[in-house]
Amino acid sequence: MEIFLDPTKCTGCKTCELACTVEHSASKDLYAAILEIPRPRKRIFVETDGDLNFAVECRHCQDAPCVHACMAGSMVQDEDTGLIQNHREKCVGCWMCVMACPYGVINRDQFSRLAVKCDRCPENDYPQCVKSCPTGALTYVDVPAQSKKVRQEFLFQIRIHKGEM
Amino acid sequence: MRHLILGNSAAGIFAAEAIRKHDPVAEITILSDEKYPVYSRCLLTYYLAGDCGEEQLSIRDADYYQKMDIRFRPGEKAIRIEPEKKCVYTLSERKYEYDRLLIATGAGPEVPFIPGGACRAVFNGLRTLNDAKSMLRYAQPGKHAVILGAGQVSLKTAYGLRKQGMDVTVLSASSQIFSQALDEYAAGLVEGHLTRHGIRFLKQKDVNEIQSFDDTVCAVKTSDGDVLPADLVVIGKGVRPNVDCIRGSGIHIDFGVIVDSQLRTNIPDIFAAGDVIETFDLARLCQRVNAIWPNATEQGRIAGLNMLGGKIEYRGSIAMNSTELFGFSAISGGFARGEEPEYEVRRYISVDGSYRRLVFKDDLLVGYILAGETGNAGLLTAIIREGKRLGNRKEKLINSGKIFYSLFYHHQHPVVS
Amino acid sequence: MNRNVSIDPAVLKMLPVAREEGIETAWDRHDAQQPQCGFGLTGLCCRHCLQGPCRIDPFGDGGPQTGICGAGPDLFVARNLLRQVAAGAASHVDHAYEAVEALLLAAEGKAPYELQDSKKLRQVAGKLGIPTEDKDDRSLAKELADAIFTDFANHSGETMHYLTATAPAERVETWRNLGVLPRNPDREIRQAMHQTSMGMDADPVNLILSTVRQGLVDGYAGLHLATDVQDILFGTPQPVVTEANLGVLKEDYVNIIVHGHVPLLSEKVVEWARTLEDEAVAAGAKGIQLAGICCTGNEVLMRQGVPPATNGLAQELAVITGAADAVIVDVQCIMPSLGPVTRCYHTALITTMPIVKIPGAIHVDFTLEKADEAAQQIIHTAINAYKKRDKSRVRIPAEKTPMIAGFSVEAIIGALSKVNPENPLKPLVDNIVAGNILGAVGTVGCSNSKLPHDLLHVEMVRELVKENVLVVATGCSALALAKAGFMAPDAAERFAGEPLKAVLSAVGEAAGLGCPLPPVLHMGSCVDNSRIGELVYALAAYLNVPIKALPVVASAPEPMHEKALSIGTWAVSLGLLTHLGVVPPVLGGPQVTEILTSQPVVDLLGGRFYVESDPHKAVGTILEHIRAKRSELGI
Repeated sequence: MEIFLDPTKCTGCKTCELACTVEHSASKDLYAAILEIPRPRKRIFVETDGDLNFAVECRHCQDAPCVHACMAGSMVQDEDTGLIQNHREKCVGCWMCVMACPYGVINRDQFSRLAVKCDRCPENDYPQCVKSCPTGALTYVDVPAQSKKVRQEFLFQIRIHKGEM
Repeated sequence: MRHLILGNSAAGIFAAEAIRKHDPVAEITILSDEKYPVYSRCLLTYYLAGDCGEEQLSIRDADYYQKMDIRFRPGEKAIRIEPEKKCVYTLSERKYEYDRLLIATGAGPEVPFIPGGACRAVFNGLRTLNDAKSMLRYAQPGKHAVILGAGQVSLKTAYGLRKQGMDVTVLSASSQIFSQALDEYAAGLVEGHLTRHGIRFLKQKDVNEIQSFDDTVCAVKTSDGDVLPADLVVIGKGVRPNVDCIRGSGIHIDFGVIVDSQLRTNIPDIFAAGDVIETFDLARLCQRVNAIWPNATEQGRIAGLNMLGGKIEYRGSIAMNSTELFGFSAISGGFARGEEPEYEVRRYISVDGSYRRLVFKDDLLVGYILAGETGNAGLLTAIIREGKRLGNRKEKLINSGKIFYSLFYHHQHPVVS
Repeated sequence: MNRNVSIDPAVLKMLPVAREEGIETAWDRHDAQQPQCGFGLTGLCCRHCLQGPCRIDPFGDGGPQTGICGAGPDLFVARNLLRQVAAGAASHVDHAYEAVEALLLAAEGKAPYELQDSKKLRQVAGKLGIPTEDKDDRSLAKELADAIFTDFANHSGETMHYLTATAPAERVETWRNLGVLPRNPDREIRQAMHQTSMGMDADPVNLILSTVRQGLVDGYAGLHLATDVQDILFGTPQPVVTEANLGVLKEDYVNIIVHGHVPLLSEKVVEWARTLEDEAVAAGAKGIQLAGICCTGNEVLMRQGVPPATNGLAQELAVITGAADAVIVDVQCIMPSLGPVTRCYHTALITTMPIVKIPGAIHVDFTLEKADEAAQQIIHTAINAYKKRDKSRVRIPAEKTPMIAGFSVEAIIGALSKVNPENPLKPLVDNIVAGNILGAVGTVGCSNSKLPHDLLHVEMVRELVKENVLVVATGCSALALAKAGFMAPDAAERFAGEPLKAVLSAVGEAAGLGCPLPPVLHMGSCVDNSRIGELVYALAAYLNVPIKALPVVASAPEPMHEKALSIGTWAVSLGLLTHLGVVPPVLGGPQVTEILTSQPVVDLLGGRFYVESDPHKAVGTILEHIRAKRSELGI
């Protein structure tokens, strides 16, 4: 399963950011989470290029630069799931992964000195960013159904949308 | 197939893992001149500072070698390679034969000659767990530490010793600290932050002599005659590739080991990876030793795959640095200083005082420095590594208050992955 | 929709019908709205100027901490809250204003309304200092209406007269010292809009004080004024016995449902339904069955004994019974969805007010002068709709619960005076002192799709009356409790703690009710929260203590409308602990939250807000508060 973004549907509402933060809080409740210390941190980032909006989060790369960069051995790709997880008991907050991540989707929890990133909501059966997206810009789909061709078609559409083709 | 790996750190371990992932039965042997299972050298300053415990230094589980079926030979320092016989000799006069050999011996401290430097309380850098452990024995609160040199490891060591309560003075020969990675402005931010945390800097000063008796240091005499009290001295004058065991083997060495784009040395079946090699610097467009962890792991993985017969190309490396000291973060990548006339430097200081320096060659990004707010640094790293011409996105990048992924969503990684 | 949507068995029966019919309800739409925007939930979204919308990151995680203008989180929240409370106050003031218009036109003989309660007329005129002797009702009513309109034309800095004439002196002084006394209600609401526009007040504390002022505007130019004038026009309620819930609709009758808040039209609808019942019979029905929803329902329940069909959140389900021939709506809490839902049936949706029009509805322009004509037209429309009713789609659930309503303060005092004619409050106070009545809680307000419908109302009250707390209720809270049986003749027996039961039995018997008083007294619509106010003023005066010293708590267990916030603000400014079962959008402002819910507001006003969505925890805190107040009083 992969998370896909359709930037043409992203309104930039940041609902996913809040849902992500709440999911990664101790209380899992918005009203309680905003009062928590340490403050829970988000792992999805809504950005804009002025034309399209993008909710960007970890792509769980193969041969991920963050895993290579991690000098504490805390950033590890799970052999079975393929997901890259940061093991908080090993992380020292050196931000080598932040330096290496080509997507800029690793957040720095400066209070706890921990690198935090998308973990695909292990305490939940569904990524909360996708679940929260009010426009369906984020989707969680089976990869085989979404071939590389489809991805490229997607990119192609965006570039047409942006008048670059 | 017998794979022999000299070195038990980033490059060696990642090579072994790549081999094991694709060949469950290959014989893999790792020689280490140290007695410890794999640990992260880069974390030693954190250990020194008390930010992490010894157990956190190990980057792999206790049963790692067993689980990976790796023959781990600690305390075995390779001293000679005999390519014709396809074997390596160690200090303990053991002989290890190989079908494929990986030289991943890393780098060690430069050891300049300083009168009085041969003393147990004088440390040549902080390179091994043993260094850290013995340093901690001298690191008493209120005692004086003098650090000679102001590079990354020196500053991180200064931080560690300061956190142990020592009175820390850093001597810098030049007028700017951390000059390998940062420009004057960013270095000034780091220096100011460290000064506020009680670390003293003496710049444009060198050391003339260390006054020591037996195993005790009592002072450091500077080039202009100052005498600094000292209970502990750390010499941080950079590192050089550990190539001693390679000499005489016929393997080409310049400053580091010379390898081709598939990380092969000039001798068949001998590969090299990590801090010991020179690679193509993607920002500077020349051969260079970029002795940093992420490069070593990436090279290790590729060398491992090629030892299995792969033909994976290593595109090259860039210099990178991430340093966080007392909560202040600075990250740089590529050719961050770029002061020569052919480079265009664009600086940006945000309202919160964070600093950004971008170095361009035409519309290629070749280097950057972020100090303060350093989030999203990896985007810049990726842009440099990919060497893509930015075109009109160059101005966007320069003028954007924050580095956004979406500014560059059609570089080689698709946004909709 | 797997969550616990409601505890009302009629709702649980009707929701599958809605699904079967493919009709979307508020619960479906609630689910479709999930998750709701966290910036909105925490009050950290500002749309007051066109540079926005601006949002503040409640987690301080790299996101902005101020809007474009520089407003911080507390300012966002305080401005938004003031606007919401001003909107709530505006709703009630507009409602009351129309009632005063009706009073004036009735007095002048220009509108077909009688002045039903001369005693109340004289009492209200008297409190405003209008001499009442030797005046006929009409001329006195005209004088009264003129005097009230003087408040709305008050161009001076003087406090509005209706407030000082109604509120206890101790409160007026407290409010005067805080500088929050309102002058002219319209001016205060206008000023709140101005104060919260771009580039105005940047002081959250000053904004909160203005919010308190809006609470007073609501309390005195809204609630008290509306109740007083409606009582004069239509009579002060006395106990009535009827039934509640969708089961009151009848298969073989023309079912006419009145919904909204203002009784000016619905009283006429009731009157003409009774007059024109023959026409319904001629159309093949057995007669006309009236039923109410929401507070218009409460108004005609209290005075005319019209049974309530359901409360606010379930309004669509009344249509889905397939038996509603006409739904007549006036103002407030009318879901726009009634348009599409009624179009699925023969039901005539009739809008009546110039500011409430729904596409697809029949609009009958209601004016005070032509009230009779409008009401007749509505009855005819309903009868015609009945003729088109598809009998195969009629699914009226059997649920209905007997109830007693009509407990105005006058009715309560009337009942108590049967126990002690000289000093009617004495038995009440004596029983409070003796601990037979531990204290009193007013449960008020709406139903809210964020909570299981009716659950908090019912579960909190179940525990409260068991702990011998007397509950008075209004609005949709009262309707929830009626449906759940807390106003039934056997309610005291079923739900009240023993000592409370004994008191209720004694009073019920003395008053000749033929049953114990119910442990939950239905005091009316949401503007009738003024009646709770009156009762509390009387108790405080009797004991000679300020209101804040009483073992009394206000609670809006399931608040939905902005009116609930303005009523709640009024309750806090009276000095009451005021519970809300739904978190209002203020938590994004730590300073504002602190001020509203803890010591700062207690020091200033004596009351505070208390937010808790768990009914058992809420009751725990309420009981603790009541016991603390009792011990402070030495009882």
